[in-house]
Amino acid sequence: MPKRPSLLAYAISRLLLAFPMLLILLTVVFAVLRILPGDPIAALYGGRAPAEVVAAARERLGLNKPVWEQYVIYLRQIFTGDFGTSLGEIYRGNSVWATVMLKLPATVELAAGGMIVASVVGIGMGVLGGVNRDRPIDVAVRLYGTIVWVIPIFWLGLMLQLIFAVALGWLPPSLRYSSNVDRPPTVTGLLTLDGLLEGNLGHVWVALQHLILPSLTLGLVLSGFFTKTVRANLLRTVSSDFVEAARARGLRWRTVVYRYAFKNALIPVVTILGLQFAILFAGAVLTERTFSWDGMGTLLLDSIESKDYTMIQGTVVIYAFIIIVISVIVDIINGLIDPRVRY
Amino acid sequence: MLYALVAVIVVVLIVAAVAVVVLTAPPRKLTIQLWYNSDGHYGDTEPAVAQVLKSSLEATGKLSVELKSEPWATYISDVGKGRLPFYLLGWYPDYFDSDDYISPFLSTSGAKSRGTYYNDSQMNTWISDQAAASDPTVRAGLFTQIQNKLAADVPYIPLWQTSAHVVYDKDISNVYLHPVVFKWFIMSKTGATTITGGTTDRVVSFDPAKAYDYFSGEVINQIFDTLLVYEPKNATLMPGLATRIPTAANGDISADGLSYTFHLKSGVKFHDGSDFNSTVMKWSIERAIKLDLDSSAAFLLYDTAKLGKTPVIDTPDPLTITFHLSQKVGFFNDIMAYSVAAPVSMVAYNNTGQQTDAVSKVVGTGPYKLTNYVPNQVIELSRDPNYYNPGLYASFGIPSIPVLDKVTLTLYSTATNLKQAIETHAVNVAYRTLNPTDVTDLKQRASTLNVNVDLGSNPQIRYLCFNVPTSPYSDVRLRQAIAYAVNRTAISSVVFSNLTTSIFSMIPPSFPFTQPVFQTVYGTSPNLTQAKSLLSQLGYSVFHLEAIARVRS
Repeated sequence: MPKRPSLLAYAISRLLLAFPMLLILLTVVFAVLRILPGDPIAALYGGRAPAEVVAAARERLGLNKPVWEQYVIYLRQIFTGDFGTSLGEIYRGNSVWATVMLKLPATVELAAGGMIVASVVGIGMGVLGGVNRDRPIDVAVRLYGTIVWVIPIFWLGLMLQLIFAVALGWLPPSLRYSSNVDRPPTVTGLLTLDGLLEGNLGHVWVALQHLILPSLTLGLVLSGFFTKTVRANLLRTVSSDFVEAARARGLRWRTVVYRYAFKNALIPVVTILGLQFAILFAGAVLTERTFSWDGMGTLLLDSIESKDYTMIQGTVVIYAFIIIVISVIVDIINGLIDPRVRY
Repeated sequence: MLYALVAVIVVVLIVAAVAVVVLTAPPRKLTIQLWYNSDGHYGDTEPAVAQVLKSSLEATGKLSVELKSEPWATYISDVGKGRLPFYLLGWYPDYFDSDDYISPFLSTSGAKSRGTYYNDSQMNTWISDQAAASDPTVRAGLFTQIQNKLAADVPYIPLWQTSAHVVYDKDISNVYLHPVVFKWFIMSKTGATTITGGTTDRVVSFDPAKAYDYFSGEVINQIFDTLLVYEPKNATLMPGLATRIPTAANGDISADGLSYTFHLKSGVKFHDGSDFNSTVMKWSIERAIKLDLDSSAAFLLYDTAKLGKTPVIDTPDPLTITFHLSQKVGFFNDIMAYSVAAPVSMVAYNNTGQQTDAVSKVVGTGPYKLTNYVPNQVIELSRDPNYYNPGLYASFGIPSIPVLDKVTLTLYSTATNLKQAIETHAVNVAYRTLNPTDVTDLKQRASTLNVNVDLGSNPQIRYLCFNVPTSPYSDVRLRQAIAYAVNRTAISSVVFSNLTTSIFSMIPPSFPFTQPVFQTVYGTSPNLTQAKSLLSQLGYSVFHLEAIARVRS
């Protein structure tokens, strides 16, 4: 039997494979931005400044150079860790890397909240449907899975805002934090965690209150897919030979389902969880806009509006990098928990 | 022979049939394209505006309008390059003189950057004459001629003036929709020392040498004072850091109109404790001109205010400063009240680059200090206990400014979030910009929600532009026909819940020298008879017109 390569080698090869993928992505983003008509300088001045001022600004920012030269400069900068400075209306002159890092914690917090809601609700509903196959409750679960999967995020967000914030007044309608409460000192940028580190539960509570509706919005929409997957996997596992064998040995149905079938049904869910992160980040863009949540999604939309080349490139590259890293991590976890995975 | 005869008859019949078909066929329409911005630069209402304009032009029966749209970056770039033939634009003034609604549009260089390429030497002469004139009667005469010619030549069609709105808790007073800049430092709230405000605006920069957008200017106005400032409710100038307004009568404007002298208040200190004096004032103006930052308003100083790239500024003593202009500029005082002319601390700022927006780096002489800024989220303004001019508005019933200790401005991504914030009282004041339907809704529920909804006019104007030298718009009759056909009332009622005001000159009604010339010439409501008659008169045939329109598209 040939020697199994180590998990480390597998992880490294996965990361190396991610490299050409990132390069292709960088090139596509660069090309698309240049092919589209319009440019950031014209957008900045709004047609107010004289032509020579506009020309001078273009020269200063290197936008008058041939496209191939801009591309070479761009690649060299990215691979030396220099993401450049923003050309857009809001962050002009600020470092792209610093700006993205400033916004990243907000998106991470939202993504984590969304993922928790999606996992708890999705897995719970899936199990509920799976163990009650074809009973009314299963029909309801299936219907739920389909409906939330197709609900537009901004609509669901608006409904939750109208019900829980405007009508009932239980939760704040938008933002990450109350504007008239002091913020916890920034350590991680995650307001809930920073509140905990500060040891001020009041601040944690304010941050959590603001996190609930956006997390629900993002999480519920994603939970539809989880529900369907968990249910389908559970049904498949329940009808598999080892479950039948366990039943034949006289184990109780509940024990079989929850101790054996459920665990096995969750393995593919971990894979899907990894894939869902890409969708999660895409959903986070819309959720952020709906809740005035100042994260990377808002940054990306703002940059696109002002044709901020460097900021769009930087944000997309960092998004892509995060998703690649997560998918590698998920692959590794899969390798650890699923003996069938060979590398 | 018989065959030849038959052939001739057949040919004659065919020719006659074709002639009958051609002559009796209903005249085909001229197809034109109307361009608008698609990504919300002017709010979410723009597609509806374009739709209303399309139907009012098509009501002539002789025009067919194709709607075309582009995102802002592309749109403004195409406007600048003269690629759009017929399009919607908006304008917010830079300085509060009627000139700012005329020279950026009708002077040859201004029209070029608006993409209309209007070029008329007589117009250029009138414009530079009125800019140099200080006598209001002389200016009024020139503005009359300018506006009459504007209505005759129709390079633009003024449509409406944007509405301004502010929604605030009932117990807040001194909330005024000021025509120039919204003043937070005069507001008070019963039993409170702080308030929170909400907006969908974003800060571009707190550096006066950089800021050239409404909201940055609004925040700068709370933190930085200028030589001259505006009264709390209207655009009348009064002394700020200066002790009096320069006039020819008090001798602060020289006889040739080329020198402006300001006498400065003594004992004024910046928020960082450094002194304000004529040297700092001179340095600040020179700094803005020297830096000439991208998309800043520096050109207002060196070009519009005629200070030039190497300004000549005398500081005979610490409390006197004299600006020397290369040409007369009637509205120089107004530019000295604009944020680009605000003095900055020589200790905190340098003249080699744009100042960052870090809290300790934003240092002015105004009633509030910047005490916290989280970009895209929160701006916190706190009282400067050493403010030099608390009694500025005492004669207007506001004994001491700033009234509140702290104002926190919260930045929302969407108009819907802003509406919910004021509905749930998460903010005390919502200013810029709610959707028109939301404003109407809040107004109806104002007493239940315990808020006031104030509506007012805004100096922003919206208008149509023609690329004047290009066919078919090079024929003035087509532009005039469109001016007859546009339905301003429909835009206001269909799109803006009647919150906007129709305008009939590029100079909005609240500004001096305005005359409703488009109303006089083209009427208040659409005059389809005139529009049709002009369209029929257009010298060439309808086929020809359509061919041209197709080539262009």
